[in-house]
Amino acid sequence: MKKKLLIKYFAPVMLVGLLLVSVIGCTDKLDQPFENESFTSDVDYTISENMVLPLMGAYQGLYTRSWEEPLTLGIRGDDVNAAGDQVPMQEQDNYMYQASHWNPNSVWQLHYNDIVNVFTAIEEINKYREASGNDAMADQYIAECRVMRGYLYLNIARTFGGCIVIDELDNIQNTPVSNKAQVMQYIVDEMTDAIPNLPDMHPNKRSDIPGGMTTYTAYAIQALAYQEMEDYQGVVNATSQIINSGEFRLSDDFYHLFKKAGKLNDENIMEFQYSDFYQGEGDNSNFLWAPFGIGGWTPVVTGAGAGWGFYEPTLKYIEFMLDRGEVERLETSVIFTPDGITELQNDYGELPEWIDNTNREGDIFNNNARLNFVSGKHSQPSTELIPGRTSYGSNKNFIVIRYSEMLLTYAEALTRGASSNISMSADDAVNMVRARAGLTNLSGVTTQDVLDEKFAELAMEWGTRFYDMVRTENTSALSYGGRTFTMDKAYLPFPADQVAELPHLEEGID
Amino acid sequence: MNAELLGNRLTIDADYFIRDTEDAAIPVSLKLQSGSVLRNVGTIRNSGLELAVGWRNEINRDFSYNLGVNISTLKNEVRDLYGQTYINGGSAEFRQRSQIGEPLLSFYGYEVAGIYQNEAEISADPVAVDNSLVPGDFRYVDQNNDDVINDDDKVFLGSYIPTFTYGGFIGLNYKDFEFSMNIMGQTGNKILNRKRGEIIWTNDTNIDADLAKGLWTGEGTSNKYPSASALRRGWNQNFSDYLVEDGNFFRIQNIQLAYNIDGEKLFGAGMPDARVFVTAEKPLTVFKYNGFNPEVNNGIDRQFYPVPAVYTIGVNLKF
Repeated sequence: MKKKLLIKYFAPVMLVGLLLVSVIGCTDKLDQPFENESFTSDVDYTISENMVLPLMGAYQGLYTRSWEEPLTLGIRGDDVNAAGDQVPMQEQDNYMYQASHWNPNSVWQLHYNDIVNVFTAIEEINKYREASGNDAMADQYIAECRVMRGYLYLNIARTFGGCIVIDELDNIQNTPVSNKAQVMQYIVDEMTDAIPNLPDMHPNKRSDIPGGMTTYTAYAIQALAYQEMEDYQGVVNATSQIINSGEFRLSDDFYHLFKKAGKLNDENIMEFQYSDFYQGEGDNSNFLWAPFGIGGWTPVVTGAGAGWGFYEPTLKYIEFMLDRGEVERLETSVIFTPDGITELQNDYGELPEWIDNTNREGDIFNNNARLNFVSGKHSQPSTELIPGRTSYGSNKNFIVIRYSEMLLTYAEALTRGASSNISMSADDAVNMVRARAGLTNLSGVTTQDVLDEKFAELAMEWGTRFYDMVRTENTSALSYGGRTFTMDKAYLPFPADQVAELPHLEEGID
Repeated sequence: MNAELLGNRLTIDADYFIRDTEDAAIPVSLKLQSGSVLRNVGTIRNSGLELAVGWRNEINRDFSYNLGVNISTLKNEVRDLYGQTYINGGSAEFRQRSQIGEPLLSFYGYEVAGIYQNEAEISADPVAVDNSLVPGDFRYVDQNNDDVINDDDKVFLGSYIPTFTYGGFIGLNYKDFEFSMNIMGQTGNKILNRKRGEIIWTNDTNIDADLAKGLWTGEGTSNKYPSASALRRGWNQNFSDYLVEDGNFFRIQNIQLAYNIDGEKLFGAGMPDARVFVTAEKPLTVFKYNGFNPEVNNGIDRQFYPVPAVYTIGVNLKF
């Protein structure tokens, strides 16, 4: 009797209890995806046309640069002043470095983001290789990825004097710091490995990825790495491949090389591409050009956005160009404001008549508290904006490596005693660049002639001038306008946040 | 601990607490790359004393009163960051940092020692010479005495978390009159006067009266604020305790005076009871901070509106 009662009483309680357990049970959580992991199990790797997708992801990572990166790389030379309100950039321009400065940390992190991105892309491409069996395609795409990675390491090592060269992503903590020479050797070796698998043509002839990496992009990056190592025979060997290919040609129109007409020009070896997709509104893919612009201008196209005024060509550069009687390259590289013209007149004397505060297209550049001169290579006339777009420089590409730089790099190496298998002499190479700029030929060019030519030709572009002066230990050239440069200022310190994360960075570079 | 004493007239409530928040979600930085992943791996300790004392008494039928005071202390301390030396917060220009042993997101920068008053002071200080400073610029504390002002001279400048908060109330009843008042306040917290700091990005912002009147205009005029032109120079835009102010404040939260009318007794049967009152909400806040309102979210003042004082006169009728 009692037993029966117990059963009668407990049965519903048990049932409800069981029901509750099943309702609040957590077994369904087991079916949810893991955190911090992306899933690719639903990707069909047998479709070899899709192998291009991870590669496109790597390109997207490479082209997506934050505004402070080119500025940080560019401001330390005697071609550029840091202007604007960024104290760290002004301090770096004056060779006062602090590990806590935010912008070098950003350069470091954003470059490494894309390096890691390349690793991931390579891993994905290899999955397509296995499933689709398309080895040739996989080899080419991976080679392209390695060229991008090489370029990113080149920047980091030139900026910080060394870095961590990642071998495996999960072994970063235990990877020792490589010094600059080691990183450069790594880049040289990477390019040597990549070159046989790359398309052998001008980047603008590629139909699959126009403007993508080719054999010659790899040779160019290899040449720059050799140059940093002061292995000038290596420089000649790499650059002569580019020269001898016949794929590249200096643009006849220096001014428009840096405007819309210069997109995928025959002169461009590496170029970050952006686009408004010919539409006045909707999606676009752009670099933030505003920091290179000026706060006050009167554009031909009303409503065209102004800039921030962070990047100013130096008086030293302008006077150097005036002394040389340069017109085309000075007009392309520097835009003048009325205050700037007055400053020049006071410092230099009488100016050529063509100098005014208007560009060819009629945009007027007004006085601005932040800067007196604007970088013309980074400036797009308002008339080139696609109607409907108003951001400063919208739709403009960013040229990274030009054929003229390769010609001059080749010439310099020859003046330093390297020998070449091709017929072009140092004089020939320099004079090609000079002829395009409307200058007369030189004969018997010296190393100094070439370095001057590089200054005139490549000013404001990516810190090239600064690297040249560091490489040649020309401290007096970098000591100008009240600054004093010493060789211990050649590299920025490793960012404090990185050292905090990876204490072995603190031990530094041997 | 709770106690009621003296015939329930005195109540005391005291707590000492140490509370560790374990598995707190903190950002764990990715190696070499930008960005971080939030992970439940941090430990933050809050410890302190809470004390509440209440006193009520009825003197006679016509007059009674009650009083109360509560105070609490709080020490906030980061205990574990999953092996990370520190976690940066805030922005690069206005740095906050969580580091073991310090309160969460403490302000982090230079300490101001004063203002360079004249050329003699400039030429006597290698820091000033190296940085081409001029009279009217900040003199920062060279913590390690190496004649260079750099990252090694940055220190913790305080936290937005108050270390001491207090409140009190008083209530009086005399015949048909009632009076009550609540007060509150806090000390030990710092406020980032970012409104003042954002002058670095703007050409034409307003500055607060204390700064405007206190600017250095010549030798001996100020040892606290720099000159107007100095505000535009990078050296003086380094994050320092010039922008970090005491957040102490005392406030009268509300005051009410009321008079109760017994309608039936006063006006005869059927008349409603009534209560006439005057209330002042937040009529007074006392603070030294140079903003409009010392109560700012997370201690960062990017422009808060002043707190309005609200005065109410009312009648309640009870039918």
